[in-house]
Amino acid sequence: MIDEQQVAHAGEQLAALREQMRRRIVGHHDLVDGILAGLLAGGHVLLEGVPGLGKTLLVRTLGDALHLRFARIQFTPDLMPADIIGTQVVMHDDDGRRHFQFQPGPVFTQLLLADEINRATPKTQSALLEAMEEKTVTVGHTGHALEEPFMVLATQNPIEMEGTYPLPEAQLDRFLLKLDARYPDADELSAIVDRMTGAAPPQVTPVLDAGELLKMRALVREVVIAGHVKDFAIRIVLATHAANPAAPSLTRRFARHGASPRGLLGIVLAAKVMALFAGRINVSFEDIKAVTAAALRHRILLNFEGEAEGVRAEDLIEQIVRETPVTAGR
Amino acid sequence: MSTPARARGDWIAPGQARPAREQLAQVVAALARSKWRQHGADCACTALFAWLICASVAMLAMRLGLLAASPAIVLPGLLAACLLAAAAAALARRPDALQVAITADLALNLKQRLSTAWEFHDRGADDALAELLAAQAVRARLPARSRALLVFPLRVNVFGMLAPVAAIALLLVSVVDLRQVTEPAPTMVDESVVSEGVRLREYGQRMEGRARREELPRSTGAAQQLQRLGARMQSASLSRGEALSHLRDLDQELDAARRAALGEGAHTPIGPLQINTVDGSPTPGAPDPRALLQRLLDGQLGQGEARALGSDPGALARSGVSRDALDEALDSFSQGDQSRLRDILEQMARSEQAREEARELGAAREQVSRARQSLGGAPGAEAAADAASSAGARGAGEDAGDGLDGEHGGDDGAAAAAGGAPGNARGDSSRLQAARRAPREVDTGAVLQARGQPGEGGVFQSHARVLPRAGTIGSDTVAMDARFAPQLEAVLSKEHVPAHHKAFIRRYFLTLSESGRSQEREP
Repeated sequence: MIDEQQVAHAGEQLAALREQMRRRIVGHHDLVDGILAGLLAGGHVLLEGVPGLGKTLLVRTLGDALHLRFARIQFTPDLMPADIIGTQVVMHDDDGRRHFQFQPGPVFTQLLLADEINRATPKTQSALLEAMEEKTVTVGHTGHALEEPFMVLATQNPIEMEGTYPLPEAQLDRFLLKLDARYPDADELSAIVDRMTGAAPPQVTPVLDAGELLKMRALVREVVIAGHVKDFAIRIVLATHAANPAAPSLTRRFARHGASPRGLLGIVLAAKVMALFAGRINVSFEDIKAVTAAALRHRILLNFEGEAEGVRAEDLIEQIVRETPVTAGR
Repeated sequence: MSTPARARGDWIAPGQARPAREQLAQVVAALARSKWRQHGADCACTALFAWLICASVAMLAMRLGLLAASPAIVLPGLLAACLLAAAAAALARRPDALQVAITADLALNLKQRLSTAWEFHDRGADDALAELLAAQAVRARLPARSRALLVFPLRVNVFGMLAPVAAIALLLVSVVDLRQVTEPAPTMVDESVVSEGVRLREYGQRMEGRARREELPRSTGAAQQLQRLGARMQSASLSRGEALSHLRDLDQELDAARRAALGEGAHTPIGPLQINTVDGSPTPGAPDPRALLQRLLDGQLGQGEARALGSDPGALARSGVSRDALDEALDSFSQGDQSRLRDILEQMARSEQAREEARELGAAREQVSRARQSLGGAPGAEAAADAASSAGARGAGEDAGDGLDGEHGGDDGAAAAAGGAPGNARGDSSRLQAARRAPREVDTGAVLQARGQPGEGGVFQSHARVLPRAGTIGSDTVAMDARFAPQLEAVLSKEHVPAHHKAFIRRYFLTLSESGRSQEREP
């Protein structure tokens, strides 16, 4: 059972991890918290932003701050599934006999950076599906388990859509959170220049290993969520469906498909991490509100009218969160 | 080990001796009581406001006599009913402890620590997690009893704020003397109304006598109406405005009756000009068709008397009887066949009766118009004009043209107003000029069946009252030379002119008269 000492210790470790990441990453506090929430919740995170905002650096820094094996795959149109999950190769044994032996691909790691994931073909993108959901890879008739903790951090570029393959909804739904990288302001740009063009680039020290990370994941799941807070999250997810009578006006007008139950799980798990960040053992309404956009923005599909009018999923979510009442009962 | 001090007893400090769950229960209970008090205050304010409103209405009803009850019974009864309703509403919507905790969480920014701890505590689970959550909530400096009122303060809701207004309303309803509002002020006797009532009633009596004597049913009814209205005016039961309103209505009824009489008596349905055929003056010394008819029925009519019918061409024209038909009837009469002459006499008698009806009704309208003028109301244009028409028909031979004028003048209110006294419709040329400039309503005539001459068959004719240069023709007709009209009518009655052609002949001469006057003015 969760206890106060565990919560306090987890808080210290998370503070240290944040500190290490902030040595190299300027700004992007919400991105750092989002990635940590995905990591501690046991999910995967999709980062979206224009090139040069430090998405890849952020993931690399996370790998450096953790005692985890890190791998990076640069997705290109000619990338094949076997290039990701590995393949069977013919080997000669000591007796000269030949046999097939599985050569693991780069997915056999603990922290996988799938850079520009939307540049690969859907076939290659779907090769990650089993790995992300089941934490296993099947080649031939043999399944190969991935080592825990396993996390995929994918990046994609919202512009230059020529020659890209937007992720299908089933693939998007596998990502616990989708985080948007915003452009840094002037102060942050100044700090970036100072930090990255100096003689000694900032060094990051690993502060957390796999065992501690798994303990922390278990601790996250012990964070308590009260019934009325859970109902609040449920009301939010239900309100993303246009057919729901309680849906706000924007949703009824522009939403084609609402969030899946996996979206609700993402909200609650990420909110529990947020509660742990705050040193609480219970989830609050604010925790739910803080992670709703990241957990639902890639799970709400707009209809044609919404696409034509330039409506964003974030607009719908903002209205939903604003208008969903915080009362007891559903 | 010392117990941590509490800050003035307002907040539950961490580390108190009592278990965290017990402290949590106390705090939630205190919050619930505060919420109860707030809820009760809201209900009380609402009940007070409702009672004041209901009491005001009830008091007003009692003072107006609409509710036969004593305030000493009704007002306490209403108060009890409102209090009972408020108590029922308070019980039905009693605050839930979890909702109270959620509200306190939001009000005190406790991040749902209190509501979560209460939910786990309320489940009755005696586990460590509930204790842990309660301890976490206690550490978040929960509000103690004295602070619970800050979360749910006693307040006066919007109904409570409106209660003084309702109280003032109740006070006013109870104190103000309502007799000034409910009882109408005593009316002053209007001598003008009374005197006009006397005059109208007396005239109605005389008119009824004449109408009964002459067997004029419409005039009889109109005379009775005049008497009734006159009696009401005489009794001072009508104000001046009401009297004017009734006079206007009666004037319209008389006009309608007169037009109906004219329609019955007209055998030349030529719209406005038909009046000329009905209201035309009799030739001096001409025999009375009704007397002749009676003598015929009595078998006392002689050949000479019958031949005298031809001496009044106007009467023949008004009745739609041609000279040839009369001659043939006289020939038949001389040969012993009375039927054709009897038909002609009956036809002429009906025409004469209609003329009498129209004359009586026109005279009655004249009286009504005079009464309206006396009371300060503008008489209807048609009334004055038609009154002029009637007076002209009853007056000297030169007034025969006024009948024609009167009908046109009736379409022109200004002309009628200018006429003022009967028979004076064409008196003042400046007023007539003003009347000529006044806008006039364009009206279309009815589709009538022209009876025509015997043997000509039925002729259908639609006559529109829109005459050339609408807006000026009314006054021009008024100004028409009165001496010209009877000559025209006499010629038309003597000549064998089909009835439906007579209208165009009249219009032609009217146009000549108009163009002649225009030429006179232009040089």
